[in-house]
Amino acid sequence: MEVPIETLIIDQELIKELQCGICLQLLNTPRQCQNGHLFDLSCITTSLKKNKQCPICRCSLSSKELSRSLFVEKHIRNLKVYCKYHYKKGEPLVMVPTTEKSISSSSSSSLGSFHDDENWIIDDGGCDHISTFENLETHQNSCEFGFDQCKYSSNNSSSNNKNNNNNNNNNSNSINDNGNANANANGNSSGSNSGIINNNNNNENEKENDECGMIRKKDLENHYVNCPFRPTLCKYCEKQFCFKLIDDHIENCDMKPQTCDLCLVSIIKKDMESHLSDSCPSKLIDCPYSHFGCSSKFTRDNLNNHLENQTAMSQHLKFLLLQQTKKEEDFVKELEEKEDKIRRLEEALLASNGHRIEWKIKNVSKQRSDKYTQSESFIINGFTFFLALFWDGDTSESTGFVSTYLFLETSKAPKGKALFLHYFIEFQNQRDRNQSIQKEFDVLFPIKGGQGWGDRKAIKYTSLEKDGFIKDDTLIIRSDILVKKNLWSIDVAPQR
Amino acid sequence: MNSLPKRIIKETQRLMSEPAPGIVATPATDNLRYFKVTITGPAESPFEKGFFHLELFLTDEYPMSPPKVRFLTKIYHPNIDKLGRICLDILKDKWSPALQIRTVLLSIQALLSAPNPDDPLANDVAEHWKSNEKDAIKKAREWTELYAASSE
Repeated sequence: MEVPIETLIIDQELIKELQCGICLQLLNTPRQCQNGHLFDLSCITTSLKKNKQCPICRCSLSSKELSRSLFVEKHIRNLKVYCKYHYKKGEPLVMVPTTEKSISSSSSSSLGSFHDDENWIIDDGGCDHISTFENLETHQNSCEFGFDQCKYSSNNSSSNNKNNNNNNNNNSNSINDNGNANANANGNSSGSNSGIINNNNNNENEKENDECGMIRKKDLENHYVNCPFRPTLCKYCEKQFCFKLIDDHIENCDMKPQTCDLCLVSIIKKDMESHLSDSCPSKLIDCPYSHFGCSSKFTRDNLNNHLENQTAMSQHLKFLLLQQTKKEEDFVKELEEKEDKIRRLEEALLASNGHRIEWKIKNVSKQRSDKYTQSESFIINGFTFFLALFWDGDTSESTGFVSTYLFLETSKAPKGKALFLHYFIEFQNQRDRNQSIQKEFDVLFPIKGGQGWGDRKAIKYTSLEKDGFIKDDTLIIRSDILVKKNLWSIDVAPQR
Repeated sequence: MNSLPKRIIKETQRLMSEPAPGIVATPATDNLRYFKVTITGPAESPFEKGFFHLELFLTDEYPMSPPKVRFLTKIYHPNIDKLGRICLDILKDKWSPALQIRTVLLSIQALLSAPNPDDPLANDVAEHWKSNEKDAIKKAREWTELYAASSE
């Protein structure tokens, strides 16, 4: 809201001569009738459409007969006025009519009141410059009592702020003046007997601290020095904060030095935690060997003393040894459990997918004289196999050894099929099972360029005889055969 | 209420701060174009010591059209009928936008001092006034005591 032009005029009496007879405002484009009655052009034009008379003297009048008055125009241009920064918005006035006591005393309760929102009062800290009406705008544009937004406070100022800006300023002392003082200052009620009641809307101070509001241009420089929102560096972290928040920030600044309660050394706040956990010499700590059983506690600076202490050192070694022994025992136990588990898994695998062949060779002494003994054949996945022994080796190189083989009957082998076998051949020790000899193989049958696969030097015949493998002239050979893979090589189907 | 012309605000301010003698006009709080008016009966008239209540309404055309004014208090007057309607030229064809609420109310106050039975609105009252002015004035005084004694 702008201060009305009429309010700016110093000699209020002059307004009565220079106002439009219709709208009662200061003449903007003055026009007069032949008798000199003045109206604003727009008002008299409207009036003449209804009635071709001067509204004041009722002389006959038409638009063509209206005339300018150079004197009045000049008079208005030269009116002495204050600028708008001479005034500020006062509290809204509530006007109650008062007239002869006979009416007011007995009937005031039934009378209404008029709520005047546009109450402009003189701003004690405002501009006192007087200019002519003609030069008013030029002056106002450069008036150093004009207002600017403080560059440090928030930009999204609410619309209310512009009207309240004087309240935020330090010269708001007239806010709490009584109504009469306001009215006199305004010059509205001079010499009248109207009662003016100050409307107490105490809404100032509510939006305090959000922003500086509008500051007079002439006060800006000074304001920026003391502005609660001026940027201020934290002396510890060197980051920028607004002045009113700097104390709160410093209180919590990570870079602020603090005294360690224990060692009394000054430490930056953010490093305090690691100082206590890693380096404070006065911090009570556990012995590094506490995991191994040492229950000593001492301040950190005594750590070396403790570690170098002979008694403590031998104690630590004892703890380490105990720990180590226990670990080993646990490890062995775990290993045994694992082996056991592997064995069980192997057996389970064999049971589902394997074949166990047990070959009892009776009359070993008689068989041996034949040099070669062959088992009955058995069939695995369509392939016919048999086991065989060469009692005195199968070549000159293996003389004295028993050679053992798993043979495939190649003539009966199905075409286009192959078997990948994992198998072992065991000479069972009948005196002590744990001494049995086991030979292990992974072989793809049929074998390229051969019939069987085994060990040419499986066991010395002498060992077989004297180490308890033969009992009652009987040798027991066991073979576990596991089919690891069935391989199929297939052709195009024959055409019909 | 925001669209209230400055002229009406200015007139209201002046009515409140510099009331005309014997006239009180106050806008209604909910409608600033509607005024409650009290006119004190002029001295040496049959309406002396009476408080006459009126209502005054400013139409949207105001000030290019006259305000609408009506007596609320019963009054025995040749230019005011029993509904309170007033026969006054400036409220009709003689209206001028240079006139104001204040001048209208002063004219009504003057009409109380100087009844004009030759331009009647209430024919029977006007007849009474012309045939026996003394008796008519007596009746007007009785009505004033009867209906306009209280300022409420």
